[in-house]
Amino acid sequence: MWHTFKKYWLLFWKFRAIRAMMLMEYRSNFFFWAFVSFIWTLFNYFFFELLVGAKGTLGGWTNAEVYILISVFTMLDAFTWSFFYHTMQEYVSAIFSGQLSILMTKPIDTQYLISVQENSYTNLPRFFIGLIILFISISRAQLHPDIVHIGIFLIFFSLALMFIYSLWFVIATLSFWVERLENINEVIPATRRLWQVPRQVFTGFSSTFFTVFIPFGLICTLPSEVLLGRASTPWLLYFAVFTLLLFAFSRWFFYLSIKKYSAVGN
Amino acid sequence: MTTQPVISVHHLKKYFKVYRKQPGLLGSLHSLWNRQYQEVKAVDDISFDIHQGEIVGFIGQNGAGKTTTLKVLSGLLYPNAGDVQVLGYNPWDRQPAFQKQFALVMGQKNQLWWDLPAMESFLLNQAIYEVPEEQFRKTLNALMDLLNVRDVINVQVRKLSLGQLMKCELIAALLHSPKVLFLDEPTIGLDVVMQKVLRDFIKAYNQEFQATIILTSHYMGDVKELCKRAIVIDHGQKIFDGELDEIINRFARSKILTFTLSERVSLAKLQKFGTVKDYTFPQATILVPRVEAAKRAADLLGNLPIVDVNIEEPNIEAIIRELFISQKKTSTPE
Repeated sequence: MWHTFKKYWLLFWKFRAIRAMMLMEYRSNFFFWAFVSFIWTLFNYFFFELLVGAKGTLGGWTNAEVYILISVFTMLDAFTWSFFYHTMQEYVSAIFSGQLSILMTKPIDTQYLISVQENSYTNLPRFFIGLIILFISISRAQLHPDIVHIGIFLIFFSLALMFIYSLWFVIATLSFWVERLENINEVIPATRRLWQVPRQVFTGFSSTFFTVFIPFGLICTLPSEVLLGRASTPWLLYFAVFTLLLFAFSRWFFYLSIKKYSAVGN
Repeated sequence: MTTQPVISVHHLKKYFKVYRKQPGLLGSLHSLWNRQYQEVKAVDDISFDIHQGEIVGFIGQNGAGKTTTLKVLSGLLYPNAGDVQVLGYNPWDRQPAFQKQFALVMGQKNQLWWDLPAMESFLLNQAIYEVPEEQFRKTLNALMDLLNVRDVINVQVRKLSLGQLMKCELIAALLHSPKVLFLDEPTIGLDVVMQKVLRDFIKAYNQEFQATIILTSHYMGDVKELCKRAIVIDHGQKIFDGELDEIINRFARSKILTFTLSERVSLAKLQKFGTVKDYTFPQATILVPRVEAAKRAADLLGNLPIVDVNIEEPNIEAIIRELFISQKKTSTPE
């Protein structure tokens, strides 16, 4: 078990090193995308500044609290674009082109191999922008989260990533079942607006739908509420269980779906 | 042979469902709500055993089921029916212990990282297959020398020629010293010199490691030079399994008589001895029934002014072409 974990951990970093080497082969591309990503992040903060500035609050959250939420979103989004977007693009393309065959013959868990071999560093600056503004916002809100809160925050930040990954992976895996789904990877990015608002914004049916049925509304809200010291234990437990089950489902669905693999393109 | 086969395939079936579109725009519109599917029997009840150290050529036309069989043996495709064992494993279980012992090389797919030198892919494979450092260096050095690529492994893969790329692909696939090797069109697109280099390499690898190899190729040269045994597949079914020479004995209906004349003779006279394939005085080539080749040659020598005669087997490509044509005739309903 320990041996396998060590092997997979080393492989994870080996892929990161390979991607870093590729980045350095095409450094102009990196600088351009980093610039675009930086501008996009600033616009996003500006948009919410306008929104909250006009009303004073958003779903009962003050300006400083919304900044914490947006910072959590920015960091999650940076991860999403750095890892999941490229991974899923490559995954879907590999199914249609038959290139998945190469990965499936390797003595490594195929889902793991698919999920770790791709990434881009162009969104890394966004992560650090989010982190810096998070620190500033915590200070502005005069919050002093202790080590337990920071620990729980990190757990729910990781669970939020796992939720996004698992749901996206399940959707991308549908590619085994149909001949062509060109925009399948646009589904999750299209929901990003739902992540970056407090869950209290959703009312009535949309509240049930986006916090219980498909809890997009909890992705950023829960880690932020942990930092704000007002997280609700039932919601935390619900999201944790939902995410773990979703991850388990993504694995089951993947191993069911590869039986449909036709290894076309060769 | 009495030893257990390395590869054992019994009644393997793999079917695909293929959508058949009606022609034209109306057909496309109709297909939006009503699609007609047809079951294609890519592999239809194939059985064979392969023992350690054998190099077996899979011969067949496009879509015959060669690559599908290799993909089932590699654990990529889930069979509809049948029992398959490779090195004692069910390939579909895709156990790491099994995956560490075989390699699949596809001439039309590559595993090397396109934007980086091949060496980076080799190092990645070392980590994936957990090849100890000393063994990795030893194998890599041996393979680089055999394939003469020492000077290109640190060049970006995208800048390599097709031949260099294929050599590096082979190294990447063999670094973990697989006991079973599936080669799917390994020489496709290569020039004749490079084809020869790869064939020599495959032969050397087989002899040095006693590796079991299945090879599919459209180039009969690959099969002729490397394989003693051939399995011929047509429309998903095995139509021949045996020594390559046996194909000639079983399926060649004619022999080729090539001779040199000292005097000009009429074409009509030549036609009495067989089917004239070529006649440009003084050389002539005729096809004669295989069983009567010796008698016809004697008749020729007795009746025509011949200074030299040669009896040859037809080439393997022609025999296999004939085999497929005869198979098509027997399988086509009247």
